[in-house]
Amino acid sequence: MSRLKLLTITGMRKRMFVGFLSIILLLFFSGMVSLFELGRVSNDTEEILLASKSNVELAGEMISALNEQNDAMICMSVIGDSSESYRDACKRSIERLANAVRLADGRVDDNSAVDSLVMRSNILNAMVTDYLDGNLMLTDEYSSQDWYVDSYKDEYLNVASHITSYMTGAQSTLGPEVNRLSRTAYRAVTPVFISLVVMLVVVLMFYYFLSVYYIRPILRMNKSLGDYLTFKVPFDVGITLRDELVELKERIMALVSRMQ
Amino acid sequence: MVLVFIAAFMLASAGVSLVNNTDSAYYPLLLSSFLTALLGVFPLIFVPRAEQIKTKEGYCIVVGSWLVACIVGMFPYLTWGGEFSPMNAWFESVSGFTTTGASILNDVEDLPRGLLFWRMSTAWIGGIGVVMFALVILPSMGKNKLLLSNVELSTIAKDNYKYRTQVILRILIFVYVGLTLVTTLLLKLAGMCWFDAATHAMSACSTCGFGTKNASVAFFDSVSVEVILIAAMTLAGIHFGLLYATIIGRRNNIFRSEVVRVYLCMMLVISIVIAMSLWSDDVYSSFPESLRRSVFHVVSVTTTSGFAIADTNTWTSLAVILLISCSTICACAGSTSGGMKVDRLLLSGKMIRNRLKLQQHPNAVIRTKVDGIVQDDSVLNTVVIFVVAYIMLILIGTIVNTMFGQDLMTGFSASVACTSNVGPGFGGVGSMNNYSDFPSVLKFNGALLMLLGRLEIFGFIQLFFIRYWK
Repeated sequence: MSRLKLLTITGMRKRMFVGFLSIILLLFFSGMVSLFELGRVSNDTEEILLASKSNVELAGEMISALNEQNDAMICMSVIGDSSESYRDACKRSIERLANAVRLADGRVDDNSAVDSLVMRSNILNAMVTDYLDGNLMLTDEYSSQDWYVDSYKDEYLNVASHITSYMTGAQSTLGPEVNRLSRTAYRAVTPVFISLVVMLVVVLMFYYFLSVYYIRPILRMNKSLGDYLTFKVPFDVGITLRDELVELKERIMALVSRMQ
Repeated sequence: MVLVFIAAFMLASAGVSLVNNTDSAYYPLLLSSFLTALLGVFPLIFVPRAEQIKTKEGYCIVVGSWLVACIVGMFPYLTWGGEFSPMNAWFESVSGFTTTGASILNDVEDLPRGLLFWRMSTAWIGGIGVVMFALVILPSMGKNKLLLSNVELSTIAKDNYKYRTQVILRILIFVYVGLTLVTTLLLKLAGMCWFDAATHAMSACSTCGFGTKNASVAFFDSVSVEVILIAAMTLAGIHFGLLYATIIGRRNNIFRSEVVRVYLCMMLVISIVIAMSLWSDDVYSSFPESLRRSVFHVVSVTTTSGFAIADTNTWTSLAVILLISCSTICACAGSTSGGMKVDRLLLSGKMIRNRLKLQQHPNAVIRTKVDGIVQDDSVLNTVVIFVVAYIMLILIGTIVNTMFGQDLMTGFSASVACTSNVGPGFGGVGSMNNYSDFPSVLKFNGALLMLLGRLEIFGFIQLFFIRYWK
């Protein structure tokens, strides 16, 4: 019981202070939780966007390298122009593709699309290297054009489709991250909503208590004092809350009795 | 003050969350704790302490406490999100505080530990009764408590064992906390981790049946765990005053109680009959295996816990109807279990016997006694009225459930399970299913039945009679 008495607040000023402090704390606390959760939302969003951007950039690099290689191969094997610039372009594209695939492989832990992309790109690069080194058995019946159409083109399309698979696969691995983001976003919004409801209840309670325990007694005292001064009706007001209002009432009563 | 206690439990759950690497439930629980505490403390700033409260106010406090507890109990669920829509959060919160144990969660294991602990806390707080906390804390002791306990404890419980209300409070807390601690320790020794042991002990002693695993107790597949839970549930289903009397060596102990004898015999006989039925129908390969499952489920259902170690939907029709009967009768008055109570069954049986005797001997004066105490006519009338109201409530619940598309078995067993605060039923709400597929209106209906059942129907209804308040 004594512990409960500690919770009992007396005094008009204290009551008002604690009442408003409660509302301020409510706003502050819910705001802080929302702020914290919003911070997490921001971090998660940034992570997802960066991962997504990096995936798209890598895929773009692979496609660009592949296209450069294809252009050079068409010029060399189909058109028959074996100038050094095409050979350099081929070598450069092999390196670019290998680097991009290596980066993609290092970034994703468990993605079958990347594994098959690594395998297919290695096969393609090996084919091109063999062509550049002159290791292919090209004859009049089986020319470089035939090799391009029968072997290279298929492998080129294969790698291109694997790059597409990698891109969609890499995006789908972001699914759990997106789910986490949506949960965090929910947690950032709900506290504010619940706090608003609670605050509405608290404000209504505050209004009710102020009305019942302060405004109504003051109005009654005012009316009763007016009645006494006008009609000499005895001053009598019932007040339940034990604070300055009771003192005020007692002082008015003392004043009234002194006047009498 | 009820809200302040609930806030303290939310804070404790946030502590659990903090210990578990500040899981995702930490901030929701912390915020909910603050909001609940604020709602609880705010009125204390202004409202003067009442010296004496009236019966009507007592009713209002008790029923209001349950409702408010259920509302603030939603906060952590709503703030955390996941499967908790507003209606799901309300259902889960009511289910916890009324110690029903019915759930809408498809994946319990997805919940962070802090939230799981809060879920168990609602059951534990509900077990002893939200009002019990209010009574301990409410500064105005004396007559107030008696008024309040009229709503909380059934009339039979008070009439059979006339303790002073203050002693009842001590008994409840002493036996309840003691039983929970002992069960926790035993479950830990049986191989559970501390978290699972504590949460299952809380759930068993409050006869709630919430678990931390999707497969309930079947997950542990341990005979020792099942035996400990059976013992804890059985004890939690006995009048707490009797348990206290037994511990301190009083004469009116559990070994001399007629009600407890009926309660234990009923569970034993039904368990054996179900085991034989399961064995003869080859549901389980051996009789001991059938007995293990039947005993666990009979105790779980009779005490209104709702733990499961098997899918009872695959059981025989005889087993199903017997389990539904257990769900309706339930355990003893003065315990944390819900339902009709064995005391009322015993009294009804004696009234039927007396009625037959009166037909044979019209001038005879026959009195109805329980444990050697003559029962007043008013008590007997209350029993009859309650039984009728209880059956009507189940029927209305079934009608509503079937009206919204549930099959008869699901609708009826869900109605029984919610009204008796058991939790799992049969069909779509079987021991290995949940209420997630129910439409919102049925979830609301289920929550209402739980509240009506917990407050023994009339306590809740009375609040809504406008004339009563004039």
